[in-house]
Order: sequence, then structure tokens, then C-alpha cells
Amino acid sequence: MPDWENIVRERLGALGVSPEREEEVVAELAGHFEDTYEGCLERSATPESALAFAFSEVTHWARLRKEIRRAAREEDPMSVHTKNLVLLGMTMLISAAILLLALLRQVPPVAWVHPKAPMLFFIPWLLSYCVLGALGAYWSRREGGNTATRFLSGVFPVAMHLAIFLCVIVAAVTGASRNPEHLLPSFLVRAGLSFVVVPGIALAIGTLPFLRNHTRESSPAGT
Amino acid sequence: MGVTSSIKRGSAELAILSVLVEEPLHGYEISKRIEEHTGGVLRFNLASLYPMLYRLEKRGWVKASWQTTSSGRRRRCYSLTAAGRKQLPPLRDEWRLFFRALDRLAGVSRA
Repeated sequence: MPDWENIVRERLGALGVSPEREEEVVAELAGHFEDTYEGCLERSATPESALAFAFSEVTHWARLRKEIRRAAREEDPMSVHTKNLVLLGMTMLISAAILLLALLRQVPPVAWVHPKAPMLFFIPWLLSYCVLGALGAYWSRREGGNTATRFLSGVFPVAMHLAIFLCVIVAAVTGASRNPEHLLPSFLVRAGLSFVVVPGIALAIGTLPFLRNHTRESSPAGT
Repeated sequence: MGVTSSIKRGSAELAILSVLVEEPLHGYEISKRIEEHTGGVLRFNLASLYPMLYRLEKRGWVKASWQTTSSGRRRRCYSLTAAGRKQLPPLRDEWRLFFRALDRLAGVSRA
């Protein structure tokens, strides 16, 4: 009986995986050779022809080594997908934060109370959020996100608004410069609407064109 | 990746998952079972089978564990995970669609 483990180890060479994993692969492939060889003997083949048949299982050892290495490196598609979506969400969030900061830095406080403030700042800002929402949903669709994921990717920056809004409330209750006015229901409703709900709606509107699925059929060739 | 290798890979996935849905098997048994079930039309040799099994394992569609066979040999047995089981119906549907489309195009079933 040939020493299949030695044969496999010699021919396969280094796989570039952990020594334990390499031993496992060698043992497994050796087991397959052993079963193939014995299967042939059971079908009344001569030891020589059984050996030749077993060896015919692998004609290109270098190719097999490459394929096993490739399989070992292949990432779990689910984790790639999740990574992409987290990256996407963070990018959207940072973009929204940059937009908001730029607006707060560029617009002098006095301009906020100008009668034309909504036209000058608020509406362009909301329009930029529509674009941001569209970008998020579009990117998510490209990454294979389903409808819910696309929508969430698009409206994700609203999480930042909500966090800031909650921080303002917490600061109003516990902070050094407590401001009881910030706890009045009328203020909370106005601030919540203008700072969380309306930007959220703008983002959601942006996602709409990208929530529908492509109807193109795909063949298994694409799998 | 070319269309041919993609088709080969896709069909190999379906073939392996389909035999593992019946019971856990080790590599040699998987290749024999596929050969038997397809009347010898499909045959996986070692070089084509194991890289695919390792890929499926990496994806979490199958899991492997060392077991001692009735002949006292240790073999790495593969079984279908819940994720792998979930993959099977859409894979079947996809291939059904593919063959139907191919049939409409080339009249394979009428040939």
C-alpha cells in the first residue's frame, strides 16, 4: 500500500496555510487517494492500474495547490457584503457631518435669522441630503443590498442628527450651561422636526429611485 | 472568470449541496454519489472536488468534522449547514431558469 500522505505532501508542496490546516488537507487528500485505489482493487484491477487510476485524479499538482490556496483566501461573501455596507454607512455619515459642519462654519449666526434663511440655506442643505440619500441607496444597490438595506444606507446619516439632538437634550438637563428652554415641548417638537425628521425625509426621498430592483434575469454563469 | 468556469463552478456547487442534503458524506463518497446519481455523466475528481468543498466550507454552506468510518479509517465528513440548506432552493431555481432559457434559445429538449 503506497504511503499516500507522503506522496500528497511531496507533490502538493507548501499551501501557505497554517501547519495544522496543511496537515489536515494532506490527510484528507491522502484518504481520497486511498479510497480511490482500494475501490479499484475491489473492482478487480491490478495494483498497477489501480495506482495509475488513483494518480489520474490529479494531473496538475501546481494547479491544485493554487486552487486550494485560492479557496483558503476566499472571503466569506457575507462578511465582504457586511463590510461594504458598514463602510458605506460610515461614508454617508461622514459626508453628512462634513456638509453640516461646512454649513455651520460658512453661515454667520446672524444669517440664520434672516427672513430668507430657509431659501438660502435650509432648502439647499435638504437638496444636498436628497443627493446623499440617493448616493447611499445607489451604492448599496451596487453592493447587492436588498430594498430595506438600500433604504437604511440612504437614511443612515439621520442617526447622526438623532445623536446630536439627544446630546442637546441631555446637555440641557445635566450640562454645565443648563437650558430649561431646550426641554420645552414646543422647542423639542420644532427642533426634532427641523433637525431630525425633515432631513430624514430628504434622505428618504433621495433613496426612492434606487429602491426598485433591476428586473434583468441572470444566468447561473453569473454565480 | 470565464463563463465556462463559472458554469462549472455553479453546477458543482449545486451537485455537492444536492448530495449532502441526503446525508453527511466524506469527499470520496461525495464524488461517487454524484457519479452514481448522474449515471456517470458528472464526475468529480480529487482536483475539482476539494477546492470546491473548501470554498463551500469557507462560505459556511457546509461544515466538516473528522469521523471514523466503519473500516476504522479517519475521514473528514461534510454536512450541510442551515445556510447551505437555504442556498439550495434558489440555486435550483436559478438552474431551472437557465436550462429553460437555453431550451428556448437552442431547442435542446427537441434536439
